[in-house]
Amino acid sequence: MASRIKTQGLVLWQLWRYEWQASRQHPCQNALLWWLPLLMLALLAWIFSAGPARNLSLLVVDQDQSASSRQLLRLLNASPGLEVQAWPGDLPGAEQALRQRQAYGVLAIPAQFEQQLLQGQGQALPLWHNAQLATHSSQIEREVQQGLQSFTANFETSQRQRQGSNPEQARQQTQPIKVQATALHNASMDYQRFLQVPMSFAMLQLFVLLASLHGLGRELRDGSLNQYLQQANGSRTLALLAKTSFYGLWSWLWALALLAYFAWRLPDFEPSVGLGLATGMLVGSGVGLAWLFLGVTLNLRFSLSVCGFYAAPAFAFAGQTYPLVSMPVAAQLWAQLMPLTPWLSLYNQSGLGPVPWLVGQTQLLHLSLLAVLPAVLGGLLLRQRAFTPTAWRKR
Amino acid sequence: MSDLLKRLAQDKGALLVLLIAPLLYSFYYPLAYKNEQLYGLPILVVDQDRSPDSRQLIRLLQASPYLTVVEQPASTQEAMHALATNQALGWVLIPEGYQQQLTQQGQSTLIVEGHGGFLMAGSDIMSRVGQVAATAGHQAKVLARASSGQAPTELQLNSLPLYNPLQGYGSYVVPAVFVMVLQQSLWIGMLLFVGWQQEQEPRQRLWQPGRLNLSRYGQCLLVFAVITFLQSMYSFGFALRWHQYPWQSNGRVLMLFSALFALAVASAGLCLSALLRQRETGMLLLLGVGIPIFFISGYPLPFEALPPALARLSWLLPSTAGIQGFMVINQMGLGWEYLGLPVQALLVQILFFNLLSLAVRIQLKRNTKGQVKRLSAP
Repeated sequence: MASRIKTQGLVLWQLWRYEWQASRQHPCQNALLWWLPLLMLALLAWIFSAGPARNLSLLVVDQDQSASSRQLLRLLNASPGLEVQAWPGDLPGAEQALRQRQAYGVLAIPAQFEQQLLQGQGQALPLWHNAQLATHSSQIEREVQQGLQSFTANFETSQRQRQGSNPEQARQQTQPIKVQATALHNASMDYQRFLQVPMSFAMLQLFVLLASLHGLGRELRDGSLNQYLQQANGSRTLALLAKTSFYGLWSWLWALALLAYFAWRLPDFEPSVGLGLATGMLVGSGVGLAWLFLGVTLNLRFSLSVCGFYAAPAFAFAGQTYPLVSMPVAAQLWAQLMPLTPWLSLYNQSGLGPVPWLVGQTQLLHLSLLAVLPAVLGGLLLRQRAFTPTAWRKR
Repeated sequence: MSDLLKRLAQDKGALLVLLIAPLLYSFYYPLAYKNEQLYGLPILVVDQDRSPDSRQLIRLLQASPYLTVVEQPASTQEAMHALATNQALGWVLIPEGYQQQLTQQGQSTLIVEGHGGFLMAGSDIMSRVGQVAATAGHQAKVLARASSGQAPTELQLNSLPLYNPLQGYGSYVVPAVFVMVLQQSLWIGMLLFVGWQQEQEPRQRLWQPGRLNLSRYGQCLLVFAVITFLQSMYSFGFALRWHQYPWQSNGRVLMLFSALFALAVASAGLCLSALLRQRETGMLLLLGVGIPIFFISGYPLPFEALPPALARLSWLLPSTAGIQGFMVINQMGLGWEYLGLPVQALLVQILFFNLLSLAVRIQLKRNTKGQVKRLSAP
């Protein structure tokens, strides 16, 4: 028994060496294993390195030219995300600039703005913004709203003080309900935490899937699976286990490296053991999915098409940007079939603090089912169907 | 040309990607955003005050179509536990003394925390609760000032969203994704086809070794550009309207810009095909690069949020010019005179990628001839 285990261990080691050497000989495989994931992850890091958007252009058409309108302009200019330009021309000219994308928004301060303020008459300042660029537009809307609130508070405070209120009383009366709003465990509304981290792991899972597909799929395509089987002493199970463990270990290496990078790079990112385990399962699920696609199709090219359909839009369906609860039921059900969905849930929950045991276990179970079931099913299909010559050389 | 079309018709794999994939994605991808708005975001409310004013505030929150008060936990610990178990995406705390402070001091504080992980939903919750609080606060001011005979200062922002008036998420993201699908599917389909042809025996290859094959190159460029053009007409002339997204395109401008975009994508694809020689290689390498390419297009993130060098480099990609240009035509409903930068970028790309392809082919021709010479040398 012990000698049998030792023999199989040696065979496994030889198969890993075979896989390693094959990956070095195939530039495409080498790219998928090493430099393409590195390049794309580095590109993502570069994309998010500049921080939140600054200097989003806002044109202000000041038709009042009063002390109050200038005060409002100064307050808006103080917003870090805005680049406020006083538009010297008329409103149609500013709208034209908006259409030419010289600015993302136009705010109009009407004539008699100050006069109406002093008379206590209500007024609404129109803000036109290009809502097709939703990120830009919502930031402009938010910062202009904050500027307007600051201006109103300052104005009312000074009015109240003139009427005899002390400064503190005056400030309180201008904003009866003061809202302290914070994003839990992401107070700076950091896009790295919100987007870069989850996107990086989603991309890594995709590269694991692609590398695994190519690792086994090229053997099917080239008809070299027999040669590989001989290396495994004719054992189909051992042959498949060797590839599974090779790509599984490689995926965990990458996952560990990426977790360590984010723990070093981002303050307050301290992955727990549970999250580490979940990340390993997410990334490793790419291997199982590759086996399932190949087991069903026996065709590298067709498996890649299936991969494109399933994995490429996974981030859109997983609920990180547009929440799951707002999606139609069909989309929510489809999302539950993707390993990224329970991983994201666990990742985001762990950001709030320790995850309750039952919740954590449920998500881990969900994730492990999505990681293991395709691997088992795919493995069984491949074992039965892939090692016959009729399954090879399909393009 | 007929030989090329015959070979293409025989390549079911390439046709699946070139013709079927964009159709499939045009229905599949928008499914996630069918409801457009973020309605009914689940929140918790912890009312430590239990006063008429706090109950009035809760009623206002419940009346908002954008929020759903799923539970009113008795304590903040219960609220945090409910958040951790995914029952809500944010919570509101009405502290003890809320009404008393409002009445006696004229100001009270409300605490709202949105989920920092699901940032879009979390920040939407904070914004909506802020709007409700502003309404409640204004009502309080009116009552307070009515007793003193003085009107409160009423200065509001009249937000006028242009081109996507309902600010729907699907209306925002799907048109840009269609551009990405067009580019990626054409590149992958083209590389599948060209790679397959180049794997054949030398005499059967699409491009014969030792020759520039300019006419065959031109035929390929034309065929793939036409395919992309037709897919573009389908995506922007039909699919967007079928999904009832805002659309106000001028047909002629759309056709002209689509033609340019198609040529640019086909030129870049043929350039890539000179570098990649096996059928599946293009697909393997391109499937993993879609997300970063989308994020540098200046659409999901403003150009102002990107490193300046990266923002400039992104204009080398047809997808950046395409996303910006198609937005101007389809959503903004503007004419050719507003397409300056996207059109210039596409023209430069067409020239650049074709010249690069030519340079690669000249080099390959020299290499092949050199090999032939060496083989025949004594």
